[in-house]
Order: sequence, then C-alpha cells, then structure tokens
Amino acid sequence: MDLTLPASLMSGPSNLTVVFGSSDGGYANRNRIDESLPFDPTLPLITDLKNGGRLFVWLGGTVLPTSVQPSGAYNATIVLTVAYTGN
Amino acid sequence: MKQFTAFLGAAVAVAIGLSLAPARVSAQASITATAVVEPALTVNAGNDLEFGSVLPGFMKTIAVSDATAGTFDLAGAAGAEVNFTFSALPSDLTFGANNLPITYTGVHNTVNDPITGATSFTPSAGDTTPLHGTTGELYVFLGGTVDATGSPPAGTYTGTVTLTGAYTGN
Repeated sequence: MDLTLPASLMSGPSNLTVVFGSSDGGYANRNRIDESLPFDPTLPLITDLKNGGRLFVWLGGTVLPTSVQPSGAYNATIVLTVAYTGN
Repeated sequence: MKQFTAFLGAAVAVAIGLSLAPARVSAQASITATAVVEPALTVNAGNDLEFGSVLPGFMKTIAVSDATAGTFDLAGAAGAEVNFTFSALPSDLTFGANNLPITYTGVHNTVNDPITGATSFTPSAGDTTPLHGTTGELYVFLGGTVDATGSPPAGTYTGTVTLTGAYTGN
C-alpha cells in the first residue's frame, strides 16, 4: 500500500503547506478507528487483509498556514495505490 | 562437478518459481484533502476615548455606554475564538511633563451595543471570547476615569491605547 501525498494544498496560485507525521496514518481490518494501528503514510506499508479481505485506512495531517495566508479553500489529491505482494 | 550440478538445480528452481508467480496487479483510489483558510483577524480603531473638559480638583468618568467611550472592532472568521489585550494602556495621560492618572473599564459584545448582551472585562487583562457566529465581529468598548484631584496644570492630556487581537486557534 502506497500513498501519494501532496506537500501543499492549493487555492489558485496560493499554497498551504501540509505535513504528514510518522503516525498520521492508521489501518485496521474493521472500520473501527479505535482498533487502528498507526503507520507512517510517507512510507509504503505491507500488511495482511486477514479475515473478510478488507482493510480500512485513515489519514490525518497538519496544515501550516502562515500568518498572512490568503483565505480560501485549499485542496489537493491524495492517491492510494495497493497491490498484492503475492504472499 | 557435483557441486556444480547442485548449483544448476537451484537456478532452475528459481526460474520456475518466477514463471509461476501471478502478475502483480495494483489498484488505486483518490481522495481530496481540503482545508478552508479563514480570513485573517483584523482590528479597527473606532471612536477615541474622549473625556472632554475636566475640572481641576475633580474626577471625570466616561462610561462604556457613553457616546464618547473608546471603541474598537475586530473582524474575522465567524465563531472563532480570539484573545485581545491592550498592548498599550497608559496609566497616565500626559501633557508635556505633566501626568493625569487614568483608570479604565471595558465591555465587549459581538454586536455594536455596549449594554445589551455585553460582557465586562478588565482592560488591563484583556479577554478571550468568540467572534460573532455569523458576522465574525467583536466590538470592544472602553470607558475610564481621569483623576484631576491633584489639580494638574491646564492643558490637553493624551495617551495612546492600542488593542491587539489574535485567534486562539479554537
């Protein structure tokens, strides 16, 4: 599992720095965030689907607006790519 | 020679393993990360705090609800909490080398009304409060009392009052 993460969110020509910490990712085999295990979303993750064949992924992050950050709605796309390892 | 044969056997096994492995297929999905940056907080000076004529030997008070009370207004993100303090709040008005002691009273309100719904605060401490939930406004009213009982020399006494506001992040 690999996340393609933006370094900033955009609003027109303005950008807003976004950072993802080493425990900002979470994953679990059920849709229960309280059961999730943290992972570093900047690094690939290998895990098992286990029973049910499902995996739920949560992603947090921190935006760092400057004191003169132009107001507006900033966004960016996050892509999750998954593949069987063959194991 | 035996040793060489064994090596070949291993090589063949690896080749077979590779040929039988399933093709690596990946899947992909996207989400959007969104953050709405609210407007920066602004602080505007309104009315000056005007005591007008003050008689020697007397005190004079301007209430926060008086027409000559000092006013400021803050504007920013609706409902956001702000902290404001008076970064300059002189204890004396001055006229040359002469001082005129002054004390202050304050109220704030999310509408432009120093009475109905207004909250008192201690000007020397400032306060933390939310901006209006819809308009994003906060009005600060400043009254005070000047003490001329010491019979200061006649003249126009002044001082600068500066209000500084900032989002708390809440």
